[in-house]
Formats: sequence, C-alpha cells, structure tokens
Amino acid sequence: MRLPAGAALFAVACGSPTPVPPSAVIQITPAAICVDDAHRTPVTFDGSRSVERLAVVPVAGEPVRFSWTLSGASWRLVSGSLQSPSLVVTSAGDRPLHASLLVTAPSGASARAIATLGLTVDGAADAGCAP
Amino acid sequence: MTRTGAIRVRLVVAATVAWGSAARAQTGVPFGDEPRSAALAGSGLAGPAGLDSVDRNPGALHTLERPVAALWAHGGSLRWWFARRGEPRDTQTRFVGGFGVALVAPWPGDGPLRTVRLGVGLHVPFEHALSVDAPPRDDVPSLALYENRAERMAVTVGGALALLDGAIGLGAAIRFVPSLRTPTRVRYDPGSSERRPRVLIDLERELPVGLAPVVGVAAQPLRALHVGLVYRGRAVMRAEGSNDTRAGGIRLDDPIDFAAFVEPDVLAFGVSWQPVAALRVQADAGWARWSRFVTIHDRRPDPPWRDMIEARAGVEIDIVRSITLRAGLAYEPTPVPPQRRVSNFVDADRLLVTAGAGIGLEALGLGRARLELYGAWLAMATARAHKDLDALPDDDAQTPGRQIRNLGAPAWSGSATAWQAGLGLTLPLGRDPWPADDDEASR
Repeated sequence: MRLPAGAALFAVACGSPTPVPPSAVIQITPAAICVDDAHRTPVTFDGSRSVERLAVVPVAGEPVRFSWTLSGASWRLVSGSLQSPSLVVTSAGDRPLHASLLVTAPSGASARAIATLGLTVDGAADAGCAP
Repeated sequence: MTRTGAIRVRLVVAATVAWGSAARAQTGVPFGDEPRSAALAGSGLAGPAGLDSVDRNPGALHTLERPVAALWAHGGSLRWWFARRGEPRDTQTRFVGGFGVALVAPWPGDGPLRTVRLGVGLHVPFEHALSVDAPPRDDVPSLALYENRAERMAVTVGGALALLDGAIGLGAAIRFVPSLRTPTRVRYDPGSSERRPRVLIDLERELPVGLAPVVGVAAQPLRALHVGLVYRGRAVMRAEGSNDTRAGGIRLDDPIDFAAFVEPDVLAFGVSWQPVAALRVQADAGWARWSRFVTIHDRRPDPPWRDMIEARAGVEIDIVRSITLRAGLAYEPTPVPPQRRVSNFVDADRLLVTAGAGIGLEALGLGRARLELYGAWLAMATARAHKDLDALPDDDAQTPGRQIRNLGAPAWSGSATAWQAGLGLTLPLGRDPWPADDDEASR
C-alpha cells in the first residue's frame, strides 16, 4: 500500500520553512591514547571542518559558532577554549573522553556531533604504549 | 571524522490524516490510550466491548449493542536521566501529547450481517505524525521504549463476528504503520560550467504504509465473566532510502535505513469479572516478543533483548449512577538484559499507576454523553550497567591495539518517569435511549 507524499502534503502550508542546519564535524588527533595516559599525550579536537551548510559543491558560508562539551575521563585544557573551532586537551585516560560539538549557524539553526577519544586497552605495545 | 548527530523525519500531521483514519498509540502505557482504557492501565482485552476493543481485542466487540463515538486529548511529560559512574546526571524532559477519535458500532439493520461489529480509531500526536530520531552510534544512551514510540500516528480498523448467539466473538483488525521512503540521487550537471557548477538532485518521497494484524477471540461463559485471547503483530515504523551521490569517478553510496520499533508481537489473555452491577475487575497478562527488537539502525541490539510477560489490572466502580471511578496498575518487566557490551538502553522494570473517572452529563442536557478523565504515572526502577572492557569490540580497526569508545564505559545508571493526563467525551449514538443499566460500551 503506497501513496505519493506529494498528494498528501499539499494540504499543509503553515509556518516558515525550517532553517537549513549546519554540518558539525569533529576530528580527533590522535584517535586514541593509551589507557591510564595520565595527561601525557596532547590531543586535538578539531571542529574547523564544520560548515554553515552541507553542500555537494563546497561553498564559502557564514562563520558558525562553536560550543564544546567534554565528558567521561577527566581532562585538562592545553590550548584553545570550549568556544573555539579547535582545542587541545590531555586526558587521565581512565575511561574514554567524549566530545560533543554544537555548531550554530547565523540563522540560528544548529547541529551537534559527538566523537570519542578512544582508549587502547589491548595490544598496547603495538600501539606504542608503555607496557 | 564523525557524521552529524541526528536525522529527524517529520511529516505534517494534518497531511497524514488525509490518508488514514483509527485508536491507540501504545500498549497500556503512556501515551495515547482512549481515556477509559488509560484509566484502567490498558487492561480489559476480555471485554465487554469498549472503545479500545478495536485495537485491544476486536473479538470483544461482539457484545456491542449500540454505536459509540469518542474524542479525547492527552498531554504529559517524559523525563529521564543518564549518568556515568562518577559523573553528573544528564537529564532530559519533553512534552508528549496527542488527540484521538474512535467509533465502534454494530452493523445497522436486522439483515444477515446483524452479527457483525465494526470499529475504527485514530490517534495523532500533537507535533509529528511520524518522528524518528536516529543517533549516529549504537552506543548512544537512549530511552528505547518511549522515545520514538511516544510520537507516532496510530490507525486501526477492525471488526468482529458474534457466534453462537453472541456467546463468542471472533475479531480481526489491521493497524496501519506509517513510514517514509526517500531515495535520493545526486549528479553533477555535465552541461554546467566550471565557474558555475550545477548539481542535479533527484529526490523522491513516498509514504509506504505497513500493516500489523490483530486477531482476537472473546467469550462470556458466565453472565458475570468475560474472557479473551488476542494476538497483536509487531509494528515497526521505517525511514529509509538510497542516497547515491556521484561526482566524476567518485561515488558516495550512503543509504538511510532507520527503524522505530513501536510494539512487539504480543499474545495476551484477559479476564473480566463483574460480581455486581456496579463493580468490574479485570486483568490481562501478555507475552511480549521483545527478542525481535531492532535498534533505530535496524539491527539487533548487542546483547539482544528478551521476551517478557507483562501484567495489567483495573477496577471500575459506579459510585452513583452518573459517576464511575477507575483505577489501574500495570507491571512491565524490562526486556533489556545486563548490558556489558555495546548498547546503553536506559530501561528497567516499570510500574504504571492510573486513576480516572467517567461523569455522566445528563444534568447538563447532553443526553447520554460522558466526560472521561484520567491521570497516569509511570515509574521505572534505576537501570545500571557495568561494561566488561574485555567484551567490548574494537572500535577502530585502523589503529594498532584494541580501542574502546563506548559511551557507557565503565559503568552507568539511569532511570525515567512519566506522567500523563487526559480527558475525552464519549457519545452514544442512535435514536433510541439506552437502558440505564445497559451502557457498558459507553463507560
């Protein structure tokens, strides 16, 4: 049983169109640290590839606002801030460190991305961790 | 690089009403039941016939003697929290509400179809006819049983056949489950210039309607006793579509395929006992096949869920001719096993407590119309999970060693509460006034 949406949706036309949301992107370098790293490894959380709107053809958009939230393992800020496009932190490494990035476009539309700094728990020697 | 958080599919309520028309959104839990049924914690599949019978157990419609219609509205709050060990709670609250309408009626006239009963019901959420929130990862903490289920349209159409001079009713119904299909193709326009590149986007949208069956039987072996048995098929809303993007030799094939598991297969048995005219006690027990649960990403959860037995009971007392009081209680054990691996579903055993009243409006000159009121409170035990770090999968095969990123590690707790209130108007139809003691279906 199938109906074309267009036939049903024509009946409605109230309200203003929803603003196009931005695209929130997080890159973490390195992607993981050794378990119990004890704040030895600086880690970059980079949201600078976030854009005002996601497009097939790259277009220069308006600047977006950044708001980071970090949770999980305890962390220390090395550089940047929770409102900057990127920041560098260290982690205790007792558990994964989770980053949530809220990107807000000038239109007010927003998008959120989450990413996690992993913990290397097995194969530590292969990953360059101290035994 | 991480893909952006959630994808939300929103269809406009008024538009969707145009292609469907019927009863209830949930199985005896907030949100969406018809007010009398909600006040009785969703119990009452044995009958006698009520406005919820078309969805609860269409076989119970066989005792219906007069057409009855109802309109209702409800609203409430859903609040839940999640906290990893040693970290503050993350609490979320949201409003859930909706409208409903139902009509049940015997086949008109005295012809050969006089033993047929029909029913139709419709429930529409306040905000979205279909809403699917899809987190980007399987380990995102979620309230799986209520998040997407709370906001959906429910349409049910059914009927019953009275057999053996009305002693037994055999009924069937179909629940319509809305979904969305939106295949997308993106291509560069070969005729465009380098200075002004253009893209061709071919976007189709369809609203496929899934069907979930309901088959039930009800009987009245004694004047004061009703029994019933019903099977309800599972209902899953889907949002899916291919997403094929090509740019020269580069191809991105990134389909969406989301499934909002609304209700499992349920096999339930119920009894209703009316020792005196002014008192009815009813109880249901149902086997819910939660082991077939799929996550929003249409995958079996890790670990998979378990089948469960759920129990509901209700009592209804006429304290005076025009006022009926109701109360109900339901116990829903959690189908979620200990979560030592990937999933982080906030769920534990749940208790639903309900109360309500039906008030006759004869004094206001509204004939046999009744005002129905109810309130419901749902409490959940605290869910706890301890992750087994040795059992968590490697989250990054590209990096040497085994990486863990689970959002619930190393341990977490969480819980939820919900409340809901609603009111409705029940309208007996037809020209003949009903006998004072024969208005069961309108209560």
